[in-house]
Amino acid sequence: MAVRPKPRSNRLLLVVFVSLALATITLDYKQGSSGPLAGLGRAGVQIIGPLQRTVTKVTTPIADFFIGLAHLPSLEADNRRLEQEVASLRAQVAAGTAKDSEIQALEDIVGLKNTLQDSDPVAGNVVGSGLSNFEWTIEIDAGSSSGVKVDDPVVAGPATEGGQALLVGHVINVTADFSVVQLIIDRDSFVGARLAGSSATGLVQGEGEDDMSMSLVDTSTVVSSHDLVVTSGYKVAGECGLYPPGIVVGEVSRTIPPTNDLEAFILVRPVADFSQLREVLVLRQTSRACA
Amino acid sequence: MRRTLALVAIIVTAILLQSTIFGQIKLLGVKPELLYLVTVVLAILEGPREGMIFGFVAGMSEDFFLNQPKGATALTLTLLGYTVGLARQYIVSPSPLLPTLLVAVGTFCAVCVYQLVRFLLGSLEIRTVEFFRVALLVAAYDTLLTPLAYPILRRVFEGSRPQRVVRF
Repeated sequence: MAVRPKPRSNRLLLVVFVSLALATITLDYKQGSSGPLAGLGRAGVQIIGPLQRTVTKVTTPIADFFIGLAHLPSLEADNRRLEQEVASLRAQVAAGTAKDSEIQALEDIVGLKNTLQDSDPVAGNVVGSGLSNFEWTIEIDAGSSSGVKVDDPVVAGPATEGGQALLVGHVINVTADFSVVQLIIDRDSFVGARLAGSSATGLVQGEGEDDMSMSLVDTSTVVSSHDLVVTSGYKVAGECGLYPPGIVVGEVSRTIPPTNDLEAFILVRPVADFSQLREVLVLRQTSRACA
Repeated sequence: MRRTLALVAIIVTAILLQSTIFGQIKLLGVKPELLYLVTVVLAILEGPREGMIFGFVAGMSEDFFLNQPKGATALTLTLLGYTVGLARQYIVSPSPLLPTLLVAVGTFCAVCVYQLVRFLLGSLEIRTVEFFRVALLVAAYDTLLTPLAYPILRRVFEGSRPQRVVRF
């Protein structure tokens, strides 16, 4: 007959495990992303990556079905809204051409160039999302073997002439064949950005599932909703920003009335739907481009 | 040996599912915490010792896929497995709803503990409303999944339990 372990030995084991966990937390906290623990984490990503890729291939149609089911009640309302949008967009198309050249002119004035062509993009499939509810990351199947490095910017959508690239985030962890990308909606993500209409700059911080907030905006800036917010690519403290200029970050969803005379706050809604990303482009940068 | 393999397979499956399909099917923007659920169920079936050992290993495994200070999930799940296992010994209710209730309460408390640990480490800055919203939603999602997961997990745990041979 098996002997039941005494409660005392259970308590001892509990103390051992709690101490081990606390030791790990301390060790990792001190070593950051360079220690052996971070190395083990990279090994984990490399091992689980191929499995994730397989599971994602199988489950994406199933997930799409459930997402479709969840959206069923709102489909009719969506349809009506879309019809209205089509009508208003048709009217805007004519004005759009003019606006395009206006944006181009503004970009010329502030001396920005589209540096997407300068970088050498590599495509990656999204194989998984982060595990946690407190980090907004994705895993992609492009790693150091295809030239991806930590801090490389990641975009979605067409990164070609004429098309507008949407900013997804930047690489925070690289293994041989897979990398982890921190999304711009992550609470630790900061993007130097400017309003496409007025060229006023600010800092866009992720807010998780909520709209991102853009701070440090000049209070005299006139903002209207749906204004595009693009990366500014400016220098901060002598360091070039992570992101090349001119990539779409999102659009203005709301302005918060300024509480002081120093800075205004703007809420920015991301244009890309991060939960439905399938393919992204990593912009491999040999040297970081400053505006 | 067979049991260890079964438990490792459960951890890998939970991590895989959570990072793929549940990343796409969210409940109001929140993913379930599958390893929290498994830890509670194991603690209910096997007691505080196994609950805490599994919690520690599962937590460490999850931590290595996270960017934040590793060890926070291990700490949370060790405490969760031990507490639920201990509490289970004092509950005599035969209600079939008991596992669901324990998952709900256990997950809610564990998510709060996890956030608190992260907050104390300075790696999490969220408003109080958001703090409780996430804990409640994760608990709700895990609770919804319990009726599905509990029978499967019980089969695996009981099927892999070392056979006790009684000789007269």
